[in-house]
Formats: sequence, C-alpha cells, structure tokens
Amino acid sequence: MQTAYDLGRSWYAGRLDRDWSPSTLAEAEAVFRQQGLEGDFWTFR
Amino acid sequence: MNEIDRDVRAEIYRLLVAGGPGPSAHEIAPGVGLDVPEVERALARLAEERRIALVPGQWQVAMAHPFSGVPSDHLVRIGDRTWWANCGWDGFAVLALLGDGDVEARSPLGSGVDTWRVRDGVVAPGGLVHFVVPVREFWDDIGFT
Repeated sequence: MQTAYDLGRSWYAGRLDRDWSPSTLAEAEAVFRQQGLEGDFWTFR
Repeated sequence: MNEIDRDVRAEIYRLLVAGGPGPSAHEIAPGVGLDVPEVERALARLAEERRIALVPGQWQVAMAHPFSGVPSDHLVRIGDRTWWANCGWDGFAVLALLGDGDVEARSPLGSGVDTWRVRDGVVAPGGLVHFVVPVREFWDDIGFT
C-alpha cells in the first residue's frame, strides 16, 4: 500500500498544474523503477 | 496541447477538485470563456491524446486521472469532502495531490468496504494493490484498467 501511495505521488506530480505535460516513456518507466517496480510488466515498449 | 486545451484541461481539474461529478462541456465552458462547441472540440482532442476519458457518447468527463468523474468502487475522503478515484492507486494519488485522508475501497466481490488511512504520507494498514494490466496495455481498455 505504501508503494502504491508513493507511486501515486510521483506519477501524478504536477498533474493539477495548467502547464503539466505528460512524461516521456523513459521518464514514466523511471518512476516505476524508483519504486522498485521493474520487469516486462512495468515497461511501455 | 494547445493553449485552449490547456485551459480546458485545467478547468476540468479545478471543477473535479472542487467536488462533484465529471464536468460536461456546458459546465466547463463558462470557466474558460469558450462556447460549448469549442469546448467539445477540446474535449475530443484531450481524449484522443489520452489526457482524459469521456463518458461514451457524451461530452462529459469520465476520467481525469487520478479522479473519476463517475461513481466508482474507490472513494477518497478528506474530512467531510469526498472524491471518486478510478482504482486503488488513483485513490492514493488523490490524497497525494490534495492531502491526508482516507481511501475507502468497496470489494468487487461484495464483501464490504476496506479503509486505508494516510497520515503525513504514511499509509495504514498494510496490504496489497493488485495490478492486473501491464502498463503498456493501460489504455487498451482504460475503464477495465
């Protein structure tokens, strides 16, 4: 559960800002890796 | 995203944070100074770019992640204010954006409601979030995801 919260905090950082822009695929995958979520399931390509 | 889409997107989030269901084009238009057809075109672009999801066949926001614009099994509560989230992960994300509170998850098996508390960024009790869909397939069927 704590990982889910921490992932939510990182994944959605800045989402309420008008000038928010989506992450690149590499940046998005890095967010998962930072929470220890690695492997094929957690990759976009 | 062009400037109109940024304004419309920001207004969607402003309205969702304020509370209530996913806003319609009619509800978004006054806040951005556009007419309804212009807002509808912006909504279509935002949905095409996967910035939001619309209620099928309607110009109403179904999802602006992590918020759900329609009732879901995941209710986020901060004091006496509530929001719907799309899933457990999104429930925690709403709290990460808005502040400490609770996530109430209704079991799809009908076995009741489980509540997780977040205080100072710490979640209790423990537990597991089950991700069913690989991340590369998130948007294949975002409602299921």
